[in-house]
Amino acid sequence: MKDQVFAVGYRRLPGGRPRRWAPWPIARTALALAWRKRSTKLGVVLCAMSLFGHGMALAAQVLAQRLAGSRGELMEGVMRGIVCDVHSTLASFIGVQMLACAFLLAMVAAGLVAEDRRTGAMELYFSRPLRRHDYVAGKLLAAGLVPAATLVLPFALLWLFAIGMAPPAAAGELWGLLLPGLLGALVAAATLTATILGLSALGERGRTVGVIYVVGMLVLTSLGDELPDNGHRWAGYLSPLRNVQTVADAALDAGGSGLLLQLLTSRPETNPSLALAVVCLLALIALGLGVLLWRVRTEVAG
Amino acid sequence: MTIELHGVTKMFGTVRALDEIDLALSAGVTGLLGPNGSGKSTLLKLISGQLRPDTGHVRVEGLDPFAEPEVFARLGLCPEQDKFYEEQTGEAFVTALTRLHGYGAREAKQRAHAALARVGMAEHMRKPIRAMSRGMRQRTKIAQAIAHDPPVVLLDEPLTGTDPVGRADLIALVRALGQEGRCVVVSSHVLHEVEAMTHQVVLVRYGRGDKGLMAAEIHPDIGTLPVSH
Repeated sequence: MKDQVFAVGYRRLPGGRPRRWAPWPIARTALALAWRKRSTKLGVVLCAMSLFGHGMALAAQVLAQRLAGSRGELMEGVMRGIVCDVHSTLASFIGVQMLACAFLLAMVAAGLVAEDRRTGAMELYFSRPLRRHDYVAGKLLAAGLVPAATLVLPFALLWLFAIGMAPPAAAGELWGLLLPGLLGALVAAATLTATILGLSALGERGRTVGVIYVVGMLVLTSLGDELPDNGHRWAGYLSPLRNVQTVADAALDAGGSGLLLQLLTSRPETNPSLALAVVCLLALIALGLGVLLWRVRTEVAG
Repeated sequence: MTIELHGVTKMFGTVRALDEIDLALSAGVTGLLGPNGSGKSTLLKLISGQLRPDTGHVRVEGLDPFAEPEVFARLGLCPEQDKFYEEQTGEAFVTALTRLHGYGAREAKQRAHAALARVGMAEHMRKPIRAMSRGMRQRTKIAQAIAHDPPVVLLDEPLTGTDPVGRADLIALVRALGQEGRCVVVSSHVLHEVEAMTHQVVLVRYGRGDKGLMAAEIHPDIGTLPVSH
């Protein structure tokens, strides 16, 4: 037996390849894998049901008020009813959807880093021309698309739905709800994304990470809702949802017209200090991202 | 030289996994031979930039694989570990990893198909990885290592778990890769597997490498064999 060498030296391929954005294939693979799980589909159904429910409620409320207006009731009362109903439905949507989204994220994103560590997929990823920030961006993109698609986008759709059905006078005032609501949805999305990835970077099994995440979110939300009513006002800052509502409500106060604020008779319960709520949310986001970056750095540094 | 290591030492705590390794490899198949725990996988991880040497330096095509990820465009790694995204099909697995080399979706898919066909997985590429046998997994792993057509291919224990027919096919594939002018490094602790692929052997013992040994020197029963490298 004899080795025969037919060619010595490797022929380089002509021309350079265009460098494509590496995080997208990473995110796409993660989302495609998540979609194969039945639990992910259940999470999507939960989010869709919440959206559908709020959409129906919104339609019924606005149509009822319009009907009242056509019977000759005072326009101010009709406007007040429409603006109040739309505001409370959108606020409730962000609250409910944030929890439904946390459940969906637990299915989709809990294993994003944890499973890569357990299965050794990182070794395969980093034997490609890939930098650490590409990997982190890919995972952030995969996790971030979930709240973007289930929280931010549906909020905008519900608002458009409401403004399309409302009479012109009320529609003018509803414009003031868009930016505060979008801000709330974006802050909620950033908080959920950063915390799930931080937790995923600490764990080694997606399922365990997901259960801890959902239970943790429910416990913090419950504590933040119940304890302030019993005199422990500081406990409100434990709840990410309450902090998000505080930020959105402050934005409404800052940007809403005088008439809009007069029309709103009920507001969601919020924390007393906006600054402290922002600090709590930023701390949570920074903690999640910090843990993610630290873990990837230690895993890849060799 | 395609792969160069000079004075490379790697410690894990107080354990010296590799000790002052000097190695220079060019085109053709080179076998890394040694018992379990001798440092073969550590050596491959150093060459593939997964680990940073404590002393000395590693160069692949003139680049430091630990500091310059660009080198991975010209390097394919088939790792020893056998756990993947179990729900993914072989086709999706190889395509996704090939896309990370900067190829578009269509080209990555074409390359994945070609690589899977080359390792004899054309018929089974749409099977989920969890349904694949050990040999199929090994072939799929090799496919992802060669799909981007790299001039340097590192194969860590590629024949583990394969049946005799599959083993013969993979040995022929490794030999063909070497004959195409690629620098192929294959680790194994089984002498007859290595000698079926190449007669250029690096024997790794106690973290030290002895390069240029012929299979005949290691296995006296083989007799004198012609070596072309």
